[in-house]
Amino acid sequence: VRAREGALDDGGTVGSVARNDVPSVEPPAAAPAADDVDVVSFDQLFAREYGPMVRLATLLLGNEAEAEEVVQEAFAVVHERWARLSRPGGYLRGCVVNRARDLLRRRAVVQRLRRTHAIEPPEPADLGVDHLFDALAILPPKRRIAVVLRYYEGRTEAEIAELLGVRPGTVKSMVHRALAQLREVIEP
Amino acid sequence: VTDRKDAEVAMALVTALGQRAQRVEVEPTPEAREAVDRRRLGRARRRHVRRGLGAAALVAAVVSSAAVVRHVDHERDAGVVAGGGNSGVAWCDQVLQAGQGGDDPAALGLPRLVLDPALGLTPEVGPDPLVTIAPDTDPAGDVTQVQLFTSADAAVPLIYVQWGGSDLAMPAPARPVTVGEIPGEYGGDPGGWSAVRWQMADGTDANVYAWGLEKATLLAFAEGLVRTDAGYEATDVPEGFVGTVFDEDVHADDEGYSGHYGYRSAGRGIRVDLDVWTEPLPTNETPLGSVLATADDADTVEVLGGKELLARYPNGDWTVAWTPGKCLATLRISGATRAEVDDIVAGLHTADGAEWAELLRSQPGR
Repeated sequence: VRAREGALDDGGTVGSVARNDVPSVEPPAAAPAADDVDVVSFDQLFAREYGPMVRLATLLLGNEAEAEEVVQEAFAVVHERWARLSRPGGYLRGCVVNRARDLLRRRAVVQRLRRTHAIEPPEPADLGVDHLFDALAILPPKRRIAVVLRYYEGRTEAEIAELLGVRPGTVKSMVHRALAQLREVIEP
Repeated sequence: VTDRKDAEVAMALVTALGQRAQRVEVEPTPEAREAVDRRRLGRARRRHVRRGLGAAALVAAVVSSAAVVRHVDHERDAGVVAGGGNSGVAWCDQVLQAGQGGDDPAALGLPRLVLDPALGLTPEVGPDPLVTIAPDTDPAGDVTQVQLFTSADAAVPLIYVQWGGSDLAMPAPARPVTVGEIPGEYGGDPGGWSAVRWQMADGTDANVYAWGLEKATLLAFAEGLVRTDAGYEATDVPEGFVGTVFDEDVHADDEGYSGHYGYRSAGRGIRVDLDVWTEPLPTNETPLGSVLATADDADTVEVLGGKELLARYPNGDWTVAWTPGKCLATLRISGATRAEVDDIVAGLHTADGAEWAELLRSQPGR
């Protein structure tokens, strides 16, 4: 997997290849991020990151409507704290991921309490044209987030671990288990 | 072979995610920018409300007509054995938790809850936790406050108040009402579940839900709710009701799902799932609210020496919800009659450290 190494340019070019413990595949150009890029103004950050953040949130949540709400709220938080942020792009991304995780968790809680004992894997026949993307719905929140950050953004285990507040080894385990779950769905 | 298959799935994921992302057509339009500003103003308003709430928990204890409202203390003494479960110790499932702690829930401030083996329920390993414990790096969540009012004799009816956002559905049919002079919405279903929702003068959303309460009584209760400098007070609690702050400003540092214990009977078809949630559950996900909103009927049952909520579902399942210490516990029971539910709940007790250690030693992996 090509992992992020240092700053990404505006076009989202992924950095050099890094060693990884998850299956070796090469993601396409990752979504742009302003983590390590100087941003002059809030409006500049908004213009540059709104679209990429909505795309990321859509992959995390599965739908664009919720994704836009999450991203707008995240930008509102960033705006409030603008003067105190040294890396507003990174903070923005953290807010988006955290809020997406909150929403995913909320879905899981409601599902659990509404008598659905466990999230059953969807039947292959129920999967649409985006069957693999749809199958992400079976994953617990953190696994889904880890998979998206890994295979869409090309984040390293260490970066994902930092975002999720877990150890890198846990990220490795989460990704492996997620792949195993997904394999069961797409290869019944 | 597994690694190769994983690599194939991973490669397919890269393609699927990339293609899905490409189909998202979104631009940083002026409308989107305005939406951000609206949210920013909303957040500022809620911060103002939060400052008004203060840090301390507020107990709504008000004299209403002739009734003295008292604070219900949900704190339970750890280690107390209640009900009929003292003849032995049930097997206990592995406590599934992630991110912190070991295999002892007490390390997280959670109760060690077990069922009496005389109930004939066999423990099983629970599913992966749907939610894990991890720090939330963004502490600026919405602030809501939840208050639970139960009748003084610890029976239904029951009133549930949630300030701020709520994801509970309005019971149908819903129709416009006025709360005081403020436009709102009231809904009630034939099963006795009703709700009123409106926006208070300070901009705070207010949601009041109830079981077994007449519309007029519910509206009178809602109209009696005011915000004071220190927080919210119920100034007109219906006669015979008591109130307590169930939770407040809990969207802070941690996520809430903590543990799962599972049991099922060998032959009777009963399944019991015991979930323990730590206090910092975001209140907009309040499990208690979801329990109430999805139930078909509500009652109370004695749990560890106190009367607690028992919800019955249309499919015949049951959920018992109570608050041991600073947690919320839910006991979900399938395939049982009401009498069996009472037996199961009576067979619940809180184990001390020595007992828990012995359980872990004698049943490795459980």
